[in-house]
Amino acid sequence: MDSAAPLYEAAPFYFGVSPKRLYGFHHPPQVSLGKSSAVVICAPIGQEYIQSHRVIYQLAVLLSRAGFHVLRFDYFGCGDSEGNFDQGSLVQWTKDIHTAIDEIRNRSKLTRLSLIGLRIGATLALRAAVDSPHVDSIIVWQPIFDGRLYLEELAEIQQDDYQGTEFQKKQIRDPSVMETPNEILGFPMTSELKLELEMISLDALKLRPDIKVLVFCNNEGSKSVGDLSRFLKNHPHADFHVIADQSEVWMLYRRVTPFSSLQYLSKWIDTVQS
Amino acid sequence: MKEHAVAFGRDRSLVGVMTENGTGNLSAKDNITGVLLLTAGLDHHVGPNRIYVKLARRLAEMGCVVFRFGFSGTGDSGPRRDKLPASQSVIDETRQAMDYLERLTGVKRFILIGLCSGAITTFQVAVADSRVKGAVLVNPPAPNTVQTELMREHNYYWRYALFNFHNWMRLFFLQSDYRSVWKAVSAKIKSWLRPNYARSVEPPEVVDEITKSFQSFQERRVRLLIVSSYSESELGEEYIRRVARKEYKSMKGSGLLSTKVLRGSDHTVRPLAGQEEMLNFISEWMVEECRFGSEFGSRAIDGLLT
Repeated sequence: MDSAAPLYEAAPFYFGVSPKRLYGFHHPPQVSLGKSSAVVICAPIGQEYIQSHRVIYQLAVLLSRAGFHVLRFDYFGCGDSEGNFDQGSLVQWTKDIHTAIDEIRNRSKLTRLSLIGLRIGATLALRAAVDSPHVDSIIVWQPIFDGRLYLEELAEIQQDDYQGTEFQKKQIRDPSVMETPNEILGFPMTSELKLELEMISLDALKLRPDIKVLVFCNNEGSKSVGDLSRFLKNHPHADFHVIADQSEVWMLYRRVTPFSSLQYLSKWIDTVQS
Repeated sequence: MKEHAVAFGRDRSLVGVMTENGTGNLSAKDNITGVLLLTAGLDHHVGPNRIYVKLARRLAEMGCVVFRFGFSGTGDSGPRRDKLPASQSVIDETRQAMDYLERLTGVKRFILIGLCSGAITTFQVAVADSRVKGAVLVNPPAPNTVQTELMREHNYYWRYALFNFHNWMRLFFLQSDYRSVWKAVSAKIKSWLRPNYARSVEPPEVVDEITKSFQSFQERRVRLLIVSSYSESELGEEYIRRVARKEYKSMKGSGLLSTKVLRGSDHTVRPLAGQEEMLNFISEWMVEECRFGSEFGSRAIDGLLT
């Protein structure tokens, strides 16, 4: 088959039921290699999603060129999906992953699935994988396993970002604003979501032993590996890879595409699915 | 309210979302204003901090059809196949988006809204395309010129250093950059003594372009809103005010130009309070805009007031 001619057209669309319709983008295979599984990419949330959006797009393109059906989508209240960010929750977003799984299964007519999750998307993907009989491999890219640490990191970035601004002056006048921020980097942070993030725990999660797992993180992210290794201790199919290029694609103002990382991820999926 | 995901453009590689108020009554075509939200740099069509989604929904509630999309190679849009430079392709693609919206909904009257480099595209398309009846420039950047550098220094001293105790200490203990202080003070004096000073230090072609653009807006009765965050680095509005002084004053006098300042926001309109302030400025201006163009305005005003 001519590799330049796509089998289907890549297209944006809405799916799910109003008022919680989700925005999705289906990247069909660009070559017919008879892959037996599809891929769903689970994005980060808030500012981390804004920053990493194009890298996720590029990963989807790479996977579709490798012959996979790929679905990128926005959680409820995020990106182009219906709702506002402050209406979202980890429970809702995990449900959204299941909705996305059903959608790509219908579109691709395939039953097997890989999930790729970045940051909180990785944590949500693990949760969804526990309840889904269709997922047989999962990549967790710089996952969040310690919600408190995650919130602290975001608050620290926010402090640096607002240095010298009127907002910071307000915080100096009223320290309580700083202690209990109701927003993180331009997105509302409700007390309910904050609580959910603080309560993130892998202890209750029981992945099926046949699911293949790749943990993909940089040195900074590997600080969470203690939690992760407890989680994966008895998992027979767990790989761990430290990112060489150290690109933190979810961080403010980076906007660098780590092609070698994306190729590694695509190749891993290709290998475990063949 | 309804949102539709669409792929459009010559090879359907541009991707965007159209938002409308959900009445489905697009047959009253003459009364509808099409609003395009133009992205900046490599931004996705949800805009910085997802603010374009909020803005699109707010304006759709007022009765407008709002279209936000990614330029080629950004957001969900594919790359261009030709070698047109980005400075030109953004103009071409904005016009493709207007053509698409016109074909789809029948709207013939457009308002463009852009932030940062999206504001530059907004300005350029507003000059080039007579279908554009209004433009909103949010934090438009100033060109990298002598005047911009002078304004940056001036704003630093007059908005920040003057009120900072440590700067005064440095001044008294001979630790300041006196050359830079003098440059800022002398530029201030010169601008008082010679109102056209800013114009005289700028490249003539830049001055000419801005002046002619403003003259064209006045002839066509295009309305302009410039929204700027309060920061020493937000210089676009001030640049236009200094360089095209006469035309700026004339447009303001005739009600064609409005300016607003976001007191507590940074360049990408963070934090949340600044976003709300921006949404209010733009929606209030849209009400005025609709009153201004009375032949099409009743629908939007009714939508807002009910």
